[in-house]
Amino acid sequence: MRGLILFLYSLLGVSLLTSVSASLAQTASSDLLTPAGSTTVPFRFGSGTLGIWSGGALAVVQDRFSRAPTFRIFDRTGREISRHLFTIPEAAHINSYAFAHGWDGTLVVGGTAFTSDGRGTNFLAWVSPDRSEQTIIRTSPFVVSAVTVAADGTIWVAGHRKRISAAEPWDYTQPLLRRYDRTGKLLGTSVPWSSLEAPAARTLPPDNLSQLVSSADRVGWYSPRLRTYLEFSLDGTLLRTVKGPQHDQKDIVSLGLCDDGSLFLSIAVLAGPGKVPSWSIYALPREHEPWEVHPQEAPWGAIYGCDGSRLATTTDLSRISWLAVSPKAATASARAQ
Amino acid sequence: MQLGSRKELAVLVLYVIFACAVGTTALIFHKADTLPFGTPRFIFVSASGQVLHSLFEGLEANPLYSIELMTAVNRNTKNCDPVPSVTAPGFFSRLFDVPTVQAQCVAAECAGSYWIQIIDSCDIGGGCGGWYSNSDVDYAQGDPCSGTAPTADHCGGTCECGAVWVVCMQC
Repeated sequence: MRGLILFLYSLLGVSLLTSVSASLAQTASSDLLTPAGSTTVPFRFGSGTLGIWSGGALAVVQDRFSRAPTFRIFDRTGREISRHLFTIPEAAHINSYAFAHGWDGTLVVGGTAFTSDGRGTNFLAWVSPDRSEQTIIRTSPFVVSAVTVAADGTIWVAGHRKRISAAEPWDYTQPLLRRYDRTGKLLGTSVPWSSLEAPAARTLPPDNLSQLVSSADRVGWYSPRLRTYLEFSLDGTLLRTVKGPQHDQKDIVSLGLCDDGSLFLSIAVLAGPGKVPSWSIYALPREHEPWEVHPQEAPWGAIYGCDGSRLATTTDLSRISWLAVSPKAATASARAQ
Repeated sequence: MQLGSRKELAVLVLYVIFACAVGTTALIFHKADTLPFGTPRFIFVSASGQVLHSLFEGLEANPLYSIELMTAVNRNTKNCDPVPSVTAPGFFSRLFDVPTVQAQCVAAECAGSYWIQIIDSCDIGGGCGGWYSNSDVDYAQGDPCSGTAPTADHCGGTCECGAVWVVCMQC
C-alpha cells in the first residue's frame, strides 16, 4: 500500500516537473523583443489592400482584385519610393494573391488574369526594378499561392497543380515549390506533397494561405494548414523542418525570417462572441527549439517581415511598429553556427 | 551700353526659348523610344518556356471565366447580414461612436466550389484595423471541391469589420 502511495506521489512529481518544464519552454524571455520605435504609413488599409516587409521595404498592393492593382513601395521612414500600376495587355481583371519585392527593387506578382471575353489563366510576373520590363509566365495549371525573391534574385513559388474536375484525385507526387529565374526559366522543383502528409480524400492543398520568406542566405516556407515550416539554402537544399505552434485555421498567421536565422511567427486570435482577441509572437532562434512565446499587449497584431535584425510589425495597420531582436537570439544563433 | 544690354537680353531670351524647345523635343522622342506613356515592355512565356505574343494566346473562352459571373457569385453567396453596430472595441471608436459593420453569421454548411482563401484588411480608423480571413471565388485558382463557410464563432472578425470565412472541402 505504502509502495503504491509512493508510486502515485512520484507520478505526481514527474507530471508536475513535466508541466513546469513545458511552461518554461513556452515562457517568453522578456528581453528578446524590445520596442524600437514606429513609422506611420501614409495610407489607409481598406479592403483589397495588403502589405509585407520584403526586400528591405514595405511593399503594399492596393486594389488587388481589379483591372490594375497598384503596387507601392515605402522605405523605413514611410516615404514612398515607387508606385507601379500593374497591368497585363488584354486583361480586364487581375487577382493578385501573392507578391514580393526583391532587394534590387524587382517586383514579383502571382495570381490570375481574365479577359473580358472569358479567357483566363494563372500567372507569375517579374517586373524589373525600373518597371520598364515585365516578364509574365503563364503557369496554368499550376496555381501560385505564395512568392518570394531570394537574396540571389531567384523567384520562389509555392503552389499546386489544380484539378480539372472534382472526380480527379489529388496528385501527391507533385512538387509544391518551384524556383524560376527572371526570364521565366524553371530552375527547379522541390517538396513533393507526399513528403508532408499521407494522401486523403478530402483535403486542401498545403500551399493554401502559405507564406514564403527570404533572408540573406535562406528561404523559408510555412504551411498554416500543416503547421509546418521548411527552410532552404539558396541552392534549394532543405536545411530544416520545424513544426509550428498550435493555431486555428481562423487565426491570422504571419512570418518573419531574420538575417541571423531567427524565425518569428505571429498568431492573432480574432475577436468573436465568447472569444477574447489576443496576439502572440513565437520566436525560434536558428536551430534552437522549442518555440518561445511572447504574448503581446495589443489585442491584434501581425508581422510584416524582418528587416535585418528588426521585426516590422503592426497592431492597427496605420503604422509599422519596430521590434528589435535582442542579442540573446543572435547569440543563440551564433552558437548554433 | 544700354543697346548692348538689350541685345544681350534678346540673345539670352532667344537662347532660353531655343533650349526649351530642344529639351522638350528630346524628351518627347526619348519617351517615345523607350517608355511611351510609361507602359512597360512585356515578355510572355508559357509554362514550358515558349515565348508567347500574349498571356492569353491560344486560350479558349470558358464560360466560368466570366468576370461578371465571379463578381456576382462573390456578392451573392457570402450573405451574412451586415448590421450597424456602435460597439467598436477601439478607444477612439468608442469615444466618437464610429459606426461599424458587424456581420450576423450563423454556422453554415460548406458550400459552393472554386473558392479560395484570402487574407483581407480592414481599417475603421481610431487605431482599429487588422487582417481577417476571407474567401473569394476564382474559377482559375480555386478547386472544384473548395467550398466556403462563415465561422459563426468569429463573426465580427477584426474590429468587427466583417465575418471570417474559411475555405473547406465539400467533396
